Amino acid sequence: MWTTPKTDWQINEVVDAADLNAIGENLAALKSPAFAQVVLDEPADFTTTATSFVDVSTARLSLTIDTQGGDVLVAFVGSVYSTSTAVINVSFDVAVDGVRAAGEEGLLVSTVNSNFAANASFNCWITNLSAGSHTFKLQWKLSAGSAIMWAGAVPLHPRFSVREVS
Amino acid sequence: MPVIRIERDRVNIEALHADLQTLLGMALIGISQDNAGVVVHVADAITEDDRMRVEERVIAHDPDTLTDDQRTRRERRAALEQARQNYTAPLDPQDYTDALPVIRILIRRIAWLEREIRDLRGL
Repeated sequence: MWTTPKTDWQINEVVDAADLNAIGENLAALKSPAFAQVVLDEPADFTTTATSFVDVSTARLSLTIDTQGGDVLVAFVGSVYSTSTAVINVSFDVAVDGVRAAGEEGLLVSTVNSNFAANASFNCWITNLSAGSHTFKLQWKLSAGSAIMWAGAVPLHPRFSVREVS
Repeated sequence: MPVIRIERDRVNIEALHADLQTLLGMALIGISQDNAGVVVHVADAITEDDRMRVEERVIAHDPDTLTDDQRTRRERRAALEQARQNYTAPLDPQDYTDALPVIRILIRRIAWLEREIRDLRGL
């Protein structure tokens, strides 16, 4: 549990147990900030045909952490491809408490077809979050056709993680 | 964005998308699938009747039924595989020394392109 550090110490002011415990608790909070991660090892990969941003998997790619307020680093490592021979764009974004972080066309685009898979990995700072519980969901959309995210069946093992950093 | 969740395993997502598009038109945003089942993403303006019809179609969906585009891709792929089996040996310009000069030039060019493609495919 993070406590805002006391910064108004006065000369001859006595340091008591609560002050020292607050420092100790802050060090512990800095050592182990709020963190959540999912490593996919699914029997079947994830697919979509959505042309507007939707959750990749509400069941598996949704992470909730309790933060002290501030910034959170979101990371995703994964790959996508298409079953279509036509080249399509697969766009990604992160929804934070239901609101997409990047908005518009998202954070990144991977261009794929059935011959070429593409890297869809990214890091993203989410800044100035309030203290409390926050939910992060990976979202994607396509320009057309259908896309597949390898999620363990291949076997590749994407990772989605969130960590409070300040 | 409203979603309709239906528990079922394997689907042909392209065929299911095409099927639901005939039902919903522009109200269909897309379909996703993960281990929890099928998720149909729809626009706000969907009636309860449409919702029920979506569920019925997803449950009745046959994943082995291909779309026209999938059938075309499969046939094209099969034709390519057949051609690969038919022409396993590289084109040899020496087999055509008695052809017309212009044909021999074309054969040398085709043999060169064939070598380039084999190199790209790691053969």
